[in-house]
Amino acid sequence: MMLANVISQHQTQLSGLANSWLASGANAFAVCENDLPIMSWPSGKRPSRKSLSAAIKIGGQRLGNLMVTAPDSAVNRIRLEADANMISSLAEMVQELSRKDIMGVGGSDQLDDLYQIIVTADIELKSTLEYVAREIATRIEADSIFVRARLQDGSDYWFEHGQVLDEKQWIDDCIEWLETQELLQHQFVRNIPGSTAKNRNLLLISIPDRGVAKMVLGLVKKGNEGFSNADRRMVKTIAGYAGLQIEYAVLSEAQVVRSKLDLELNLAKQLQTRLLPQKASGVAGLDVCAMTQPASMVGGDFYDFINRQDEPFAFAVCDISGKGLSAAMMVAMTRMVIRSFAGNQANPAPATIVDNANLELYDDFTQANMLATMFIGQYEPLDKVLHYANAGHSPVVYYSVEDGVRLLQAEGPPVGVLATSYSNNQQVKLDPGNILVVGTDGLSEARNEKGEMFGYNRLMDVVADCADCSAQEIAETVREAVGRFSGNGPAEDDQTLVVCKGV
Amino acid sequence: MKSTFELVSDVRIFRLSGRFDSHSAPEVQQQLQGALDQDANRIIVNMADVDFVDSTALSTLVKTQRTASDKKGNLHLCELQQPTRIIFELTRLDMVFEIFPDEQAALTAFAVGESQ
Repeated sequence: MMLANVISQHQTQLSGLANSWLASGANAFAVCENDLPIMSWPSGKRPSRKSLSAAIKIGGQRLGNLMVTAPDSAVNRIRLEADANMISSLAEMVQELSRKDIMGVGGSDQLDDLYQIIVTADIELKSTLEYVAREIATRIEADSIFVRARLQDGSDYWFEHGQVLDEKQWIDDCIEWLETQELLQHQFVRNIPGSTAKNRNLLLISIPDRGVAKMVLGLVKKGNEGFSNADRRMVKTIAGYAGLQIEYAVLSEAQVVRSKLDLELNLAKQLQTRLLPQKASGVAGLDVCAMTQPASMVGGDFYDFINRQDEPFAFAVCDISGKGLSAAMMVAMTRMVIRSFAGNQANPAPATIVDNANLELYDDFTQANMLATMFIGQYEPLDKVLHYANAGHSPVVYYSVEDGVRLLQAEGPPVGVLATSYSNNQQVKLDPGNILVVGTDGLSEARNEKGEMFGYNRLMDVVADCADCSAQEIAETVREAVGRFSGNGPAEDDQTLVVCKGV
Repeated sequence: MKSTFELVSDVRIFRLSGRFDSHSAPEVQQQLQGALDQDANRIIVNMADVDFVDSTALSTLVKTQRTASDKKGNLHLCELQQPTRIIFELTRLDMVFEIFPDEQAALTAFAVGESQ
């Protein structure tokens, strides 16, 4: 009964997962309870007995399983397990949400906001903690918010947001004492003694993690009011979900580590999405660098390198609108769809990839009321030409040694707007010295305190001024320029860029 | 974001002002959807005072236009400021929407469609 609830509440997203398996060549995909399919794709088709299976569980208790009729390979097994884990997390959230003490948190908008913190294609412990702290800052009045984590290698990690804490030592001592008393699993509220302001209130709560790291979240607030019951419930709920997220992250990491000996490990890691600056190595004739900086855990931007042996180097940059669980799922799906089209056929042209992606994703994007801009580039080393298709994506900056810098326009609207898309293949020359920068609008729309936008002109100027630098230097210079312009405030939107320079 | 509304014959005109972004889009979406729910299928959105649009705003407009079309009507946009126009051109959404220089042209276009 439980699993049926989860499915009916997330039907669009599960269809997306299923369709992406089918697009990769699977014959059937199903969600099963008591070993019987309760929903399968294509409709009516049952997975064969030889199908791969991965369990869906909450706290060790098995709710059901995913089945897919696809070749038994390490990549498929890892991918199915990751999908099953995601659904297990969803099921756990649905279960938690139905409990009474959490209903006091707020209306469905707040719950949707909480979803934002949880599901994401890429997870890092520290950035989860930092994001949680910032999220709480937007919801609860506090002068300072901090997170302290004792990591598995024994080191301490500390992150602060808001006013600088001068009582850090006292807080550390407090936490140590609470640990020895084994009181950290409860919330702890008291006044901070001896501080300069009349009344400084401290709220501490541990983030439950079942053994990942000892994490404590704290808030400090001046004044006589202290923290309200609603505040405390909110903090407790967010801490609970953060713990869930971190646990899932560690589980996924653990799966990757276990198959370290497998040659297909790299592909699995790419499927998981790493958000570190990447250099694409071994692309003859091109110096490539990519970076992405999400504004929040649920990023709508992503880039992907599609670098297969004996095929031309290709990459994608997408910007998906919308927030929350839906956006996160769409990111995962879009990435899967692009990879499966780029990977399955022999050397499909960029426009073909875009058109097929639109066909696959149009219904889901329409239902979720979202758009995705998409830029697909493919480098032909023999004539040093970059073939590309651009569905609504900007900014795309092209610099050539002869003609200087200009913006490249899209030929068609973003994916998800028109039921059938007809993109065209365009091309630019990437002779030595020529540069292509594909960014997302988080860069051009970054604002300073006066509300001015960084804009396209500044972006083009930065690239032109840096024309002699390496791809990595160009990427870093753009990022720094945007960062300096917008000041130290948190980024409003994700910032992603891929730089290709002819060498 | 502020918005005012006027009914001219059976055409609903929404005049928006300010930033049309992920913060203000849900409210605009509600208003536009409200009109569509009342069986209005001819809508004009006047963007003369909108100085910024982001992708959430664009997807709100796309959804509204699609719903209006499904009801055999349409969404017309008019008086786009230069920055907004640039975004529509760069994303090629100018291929998808009917964009007019002013309200009168947007209204006339509905009337012309009728007489055909």
